[in-house]
Amino acid sequence: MTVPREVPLPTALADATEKLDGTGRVVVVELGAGGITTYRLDRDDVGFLRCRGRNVPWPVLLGGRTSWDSGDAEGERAVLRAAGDLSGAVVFFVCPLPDGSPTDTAIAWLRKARPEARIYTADAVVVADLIRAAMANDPLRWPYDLVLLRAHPDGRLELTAEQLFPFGARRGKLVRRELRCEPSDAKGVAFAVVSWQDRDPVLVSIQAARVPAGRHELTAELRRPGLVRMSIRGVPELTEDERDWAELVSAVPLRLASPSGPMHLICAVETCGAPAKVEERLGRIRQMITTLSSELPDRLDVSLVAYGAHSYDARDPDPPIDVAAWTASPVRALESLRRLEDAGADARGYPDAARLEDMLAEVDRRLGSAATGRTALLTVGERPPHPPRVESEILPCPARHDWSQLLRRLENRPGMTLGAICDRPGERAGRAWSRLGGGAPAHLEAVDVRTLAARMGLRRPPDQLIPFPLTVD
Amino acid sequence: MGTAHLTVHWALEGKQPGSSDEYGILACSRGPFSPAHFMDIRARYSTGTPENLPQVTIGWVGGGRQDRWLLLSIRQSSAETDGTGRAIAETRYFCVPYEQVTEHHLSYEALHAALEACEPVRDEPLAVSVEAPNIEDIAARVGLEAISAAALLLTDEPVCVVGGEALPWLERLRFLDTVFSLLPYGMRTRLSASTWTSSTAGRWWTSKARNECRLSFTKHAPEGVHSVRWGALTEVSSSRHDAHRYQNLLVDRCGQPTALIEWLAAGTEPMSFSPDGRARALARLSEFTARDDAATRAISADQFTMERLLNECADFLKSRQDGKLAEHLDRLGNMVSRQGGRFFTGEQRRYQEVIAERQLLWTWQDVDDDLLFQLHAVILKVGYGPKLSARNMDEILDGVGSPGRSLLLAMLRMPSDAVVRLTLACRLDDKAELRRAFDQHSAGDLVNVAAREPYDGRLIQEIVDELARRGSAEEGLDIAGALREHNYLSDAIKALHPASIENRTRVLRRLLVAAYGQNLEPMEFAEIVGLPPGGEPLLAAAILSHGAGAGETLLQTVVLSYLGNAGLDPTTFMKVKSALLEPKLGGPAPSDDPEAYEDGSGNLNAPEGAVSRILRKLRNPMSRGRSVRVSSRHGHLEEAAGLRRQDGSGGKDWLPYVLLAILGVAVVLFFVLGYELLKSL
Amino acid sequence: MHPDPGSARPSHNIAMWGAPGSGKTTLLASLSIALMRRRGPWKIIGADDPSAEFLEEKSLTLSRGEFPQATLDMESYRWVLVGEPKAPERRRGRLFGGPPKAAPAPRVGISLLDPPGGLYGDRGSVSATDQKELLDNLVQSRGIVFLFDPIREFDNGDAFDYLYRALVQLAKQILAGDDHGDGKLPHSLAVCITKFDDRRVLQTAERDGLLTVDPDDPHGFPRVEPEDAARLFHRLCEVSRSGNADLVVNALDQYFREDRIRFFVTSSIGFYLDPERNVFDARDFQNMVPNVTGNQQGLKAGASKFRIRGRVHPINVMEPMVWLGEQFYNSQPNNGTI
Repeated sequence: MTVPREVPLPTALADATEKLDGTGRVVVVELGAGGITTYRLDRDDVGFLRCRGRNVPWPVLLGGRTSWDSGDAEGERAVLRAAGDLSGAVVFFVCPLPDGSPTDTAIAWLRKARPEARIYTADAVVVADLIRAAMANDPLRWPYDLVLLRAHPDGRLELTAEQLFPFGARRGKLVRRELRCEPSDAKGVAFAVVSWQDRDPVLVSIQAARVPAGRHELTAELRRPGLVRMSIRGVPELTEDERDWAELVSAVPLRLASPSGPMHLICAVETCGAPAKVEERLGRIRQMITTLSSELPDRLDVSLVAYGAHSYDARDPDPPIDVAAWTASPVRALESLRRLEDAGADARGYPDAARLEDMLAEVDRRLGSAATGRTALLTVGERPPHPPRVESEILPCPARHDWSQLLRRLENRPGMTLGAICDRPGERAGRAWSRLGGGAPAHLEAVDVRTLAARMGLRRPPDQLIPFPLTVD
Repeated sequence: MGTAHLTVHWALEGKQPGSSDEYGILACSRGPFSPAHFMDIRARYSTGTPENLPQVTIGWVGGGRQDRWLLLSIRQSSAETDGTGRAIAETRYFCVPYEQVTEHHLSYEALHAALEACEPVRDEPLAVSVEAPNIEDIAARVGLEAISAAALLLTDEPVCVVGGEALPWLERLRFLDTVFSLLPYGMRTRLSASTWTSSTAGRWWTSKARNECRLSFTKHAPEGVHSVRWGALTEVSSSRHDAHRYQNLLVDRCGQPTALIEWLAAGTEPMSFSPDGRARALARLSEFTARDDAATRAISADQFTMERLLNECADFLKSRQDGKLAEHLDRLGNMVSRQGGRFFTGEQRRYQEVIAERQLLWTWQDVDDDLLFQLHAVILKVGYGPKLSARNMDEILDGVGSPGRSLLLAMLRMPSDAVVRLTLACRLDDKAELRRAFDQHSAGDLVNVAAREPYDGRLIQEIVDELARRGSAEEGLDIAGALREHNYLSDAIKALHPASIENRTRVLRRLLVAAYGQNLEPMEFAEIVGLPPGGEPLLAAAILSHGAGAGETLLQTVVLSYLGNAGLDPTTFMKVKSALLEPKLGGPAPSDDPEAYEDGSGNLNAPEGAVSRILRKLRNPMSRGRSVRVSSRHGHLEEAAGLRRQDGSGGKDWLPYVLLAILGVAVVLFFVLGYELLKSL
Repeated sequence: MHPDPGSARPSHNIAMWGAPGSGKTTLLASLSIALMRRRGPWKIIGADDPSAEFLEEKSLTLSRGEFPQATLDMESYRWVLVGEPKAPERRRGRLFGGPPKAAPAPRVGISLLDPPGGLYGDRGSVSATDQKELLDNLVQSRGIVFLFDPIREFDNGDAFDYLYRALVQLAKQILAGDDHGDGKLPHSLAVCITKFDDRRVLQTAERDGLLTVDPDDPHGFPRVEPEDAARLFHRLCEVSRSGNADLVVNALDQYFREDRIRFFVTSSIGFYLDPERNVFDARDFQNMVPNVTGNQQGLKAGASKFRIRGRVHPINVMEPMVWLGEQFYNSQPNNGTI
């Protein structure tokens, strides 16, 4: 009995599995000392090869006899049943050399059932090992990505994925990647690998480790499809992360409160109203500038804009908006602030609103249309702006400035952050102040300047934890 | 004087801040007055919309025997505004039982002061103590307007005072008090008044209520309202008989305003402004006459008549109606005589204005000398009698340009004092008159007159001559005393001879001879040439530092060189020099005799000359230094001051020496000045 | 401006009628300015010193940008409305249809009572004396200037209170005696819708399409044509807070003869004009601004929380007075001096 041997079994098997698609099967039927063992290989949804095996020992097949004769129909049925459904599959028979044992009869029956199947005699081959190797060697059917966060210039954080292993990568593939880590909680930074099926990401694995903040090099090795081993120098081994995905994602803050690069802080202050309030407002600005200048040495430019009330009195026309400092050093800005402090509050003018809209126009004009990088506008005051035209009891702005439109322009500027401190608590601060405060203004009496600075992304809050690694740009 | 204890009912009128309601009673005390009562009271005494606050309104409430109240309301601004943003005025009404105020004749000012400070507690009536007013204060304010207003109230018609807008409200309240004090106290049960009423507050001015009267300051006299112009006399028409009569009586009796007011204040029986009430008021006022002395009783001057007569005199002068003029002058003279030369405050001021305006004291050409003299004599009596004061004399002489003989004589004939008499006699340039004048006065009087500013050169010359004439034999001591009193008339003589030191020296020499005789005794010398106090240690120190011969140095280098620069005639200077250095004449040096310091200094200090002023200035640092030492006994304040001082004076050890040196020079200068008096020797 | 005593004894009373804060005194204060701003055949002069002074002083106050203080107690003024002694044919058949010759300057004496608005209301605290005097005055008067304050109506909705109570009393007193066959009061009633310069009033008029602009007006002020004024009044009554302001309308119809009611849309201070452009700007016309509140010493007596922003351009301030004057004049048998 001759056995055609065109290609060795491992090669043929690898070839067959590689060609497996979502619907096909590869079946390896081994007739060995322990009986008939059937390995059925197919791919799951994600393209992983999977293998199910079944073993029927000889005594069960023989049913108490010691051998079959070739006409033993009952024996034939038992053998075919043990081999399982072979239809539509690429089938390999592996058997020892003929030795007159029931194996020969059995192989003859199987061949009769699937005459095209290749037969290998493989004494030395452990089929299970062969299959394991085939599975491990199986190339990636979809690329594998690592989940990262990308920080935009304004600090906004965005989840992103960068490829670790491309389509077709095989086991043992090693990849090195640079990334940055922010402080994380006790469970560590999550290194999540996803693959993409069509457009949907599918989680392959999440491993976590306590990684010190800073830049790191990640080494990832494709151990086999579905198994990526990652390591970071100086970091203990990564372990399986038990957090679920939703939990991880919701822990990502909207903004990375870690300023990088130069920052332009514009402080606008309302200098009309009660002297004590004005003093307090200027005091907050002083605090803000002092705090940030020590945290962002050489990276902070400060502008200082003071605005008061419209006079609505032809004998006493409104002066230009007082730009006490523009993109000045913190030291210079603090000097200008001293001048404002000395000047104190201006009790004159319209009592129910302030020239907020004129201030916005001036800031907008000075910022110009060119991109200016990271900029923060901190407005400190109380009164609402004047509308551009008659629409309430508050008189319109004589210059017809439209605060809402101006504010929208500022809001839409790339790299612009808004923050506000209002004399009144948030719920009574009014529409303009809500927008100036980027949602809600801080209350003058209660504001903690450091927290506000953190919220505006001017400094990192002590408690901001980032559960994912960040890209290195 | 005493204290009245009152139980006062009150109400507070205003608006709730931000409300759109009208004014209303916000709170009131429990008792006889309900909020509705107070609203009625408010309506009755509505004075229109005020221009300035605070505003005080007074009035009366009730009418029955047991039910008489005085009302006082105080309207003030508040910082609150109403629903339309207008300021809210706050008014407090106080009702005071009439019988509680009568005993002490409380004034409205006193009531206001006590009530204004009251803080009502819930709805409790207030218990208030009020000091009785000082009647003399009120009496001192009686003037033309008050008399006019008080009399006009007896017309039983509203009276307004115009032209008083600029007065502070308290002055206006005091004026109301003064007016009311000229009416029997009992009339306050029917009087109302306000420190301000809008001229268009129809209700106040046209109130239908009879037998009550209303008085207020306002801007323009509303039609049909009597008005009194502030600062002017308003004559009550004689057709308003009671009021006219009352005014005349008041004018008569104002010579003793305090007694008059006390008398009227005692009339606390309630009185209205009905004809009956007015008659009772007139009677009360007349009774004051009856109990007064004969002189006062004889007064029946009609000051309005007097003013009119003055004006008519001027008319006659212009139109040369000499007969009528003489007749008028007789009437005027009689009136003044009848009055016994008494005038009440402000009366003559008004006459003087007329006299000046109508040039009644001028020397009218073509008027017979006798008539002119009569004119001047009478006019002077009316305007400036009975005694002509120096101030009035100056005023008259300034006013008429070059006074004629008639006027000067007429003035001279008036009772007056030495200054007036001597000045006029001198002005008259009539030896006999001057002699007569001199004979009436002592040497002391003469020196006093000579020393009077502004200096009258001619008079001074005459007085010096007269003093020289009288000489030391007669009145030397008096002359010396008086001269000392006026610093030897140095300033006056300087005015006499501003340019010539030589002449001044000569005049002074004559005076000294008159006072002390030909030669000065050492004590007299020291009396004249004194040194100021305070310089003694310095002088002593300087002399000690100089050592022996200091006296000579002082004379030679300081005194002589000073006099040498004074511009004296060489002959005089030689005389001075020889007198100074001649041993025979030398007495004990002034600085050797401590008594001389004291005697000399006391007098020299009185009229402060330029040098003395300089000295004072220079001494200041010294005296401050001394007071530092004195005050340093007083504790911590000085310690602090001392620290500062130490800082200040640190490293300036030379300063005391400089100060001493300056002081030294100054003392010597002063010393030298005294010597100037001896120059003519 | 000195009165000409005797030649025009005021004999016609006009009473001002309106709720507190409706702007009675401000309306009077702006009369002088209205005179100077607008050329017209009529002048108002004071018939006595206090009344003349009032006209002068209050117009100065307004020119300084200040509002008159709240009326504390009733004030009365006496004015003379003097027409133009011009060529008779111009006037013939227009205002006074009388005989053309002689043509002396027509004069109408006016006694005007400015009470605190509260007297008209139903407040327990109002003094009976006050109300009686007011009523007496109303009975004697021939004309009433009723100030309808739409802002107060928006906010409080009590204009009716201030009208109705006094109106019923007045009717009782006059119609009971009855020489008035038609059962209507003999008064002429000028209904002044005040505060036309207020945003809410102007916008109500605008929404209802009642605004026009006089092409000859160099400032281009919006205005409400006289025939539309009544419509605006109805409209403003409808948006009232109390909802019973329509009763105001009914009450007026019920008590006054139709030809004796006229509506005026008024503003004592007028609209703000930018001094440079000098033309009405719909984007920015509010002429009333809040005063500075920083004054810790408290406001001066009578100082208002508001001031006037620009110049005062009174709207329809003279017109009600002139209309009433004409009514009086026309009702006089010999249209001479009355």
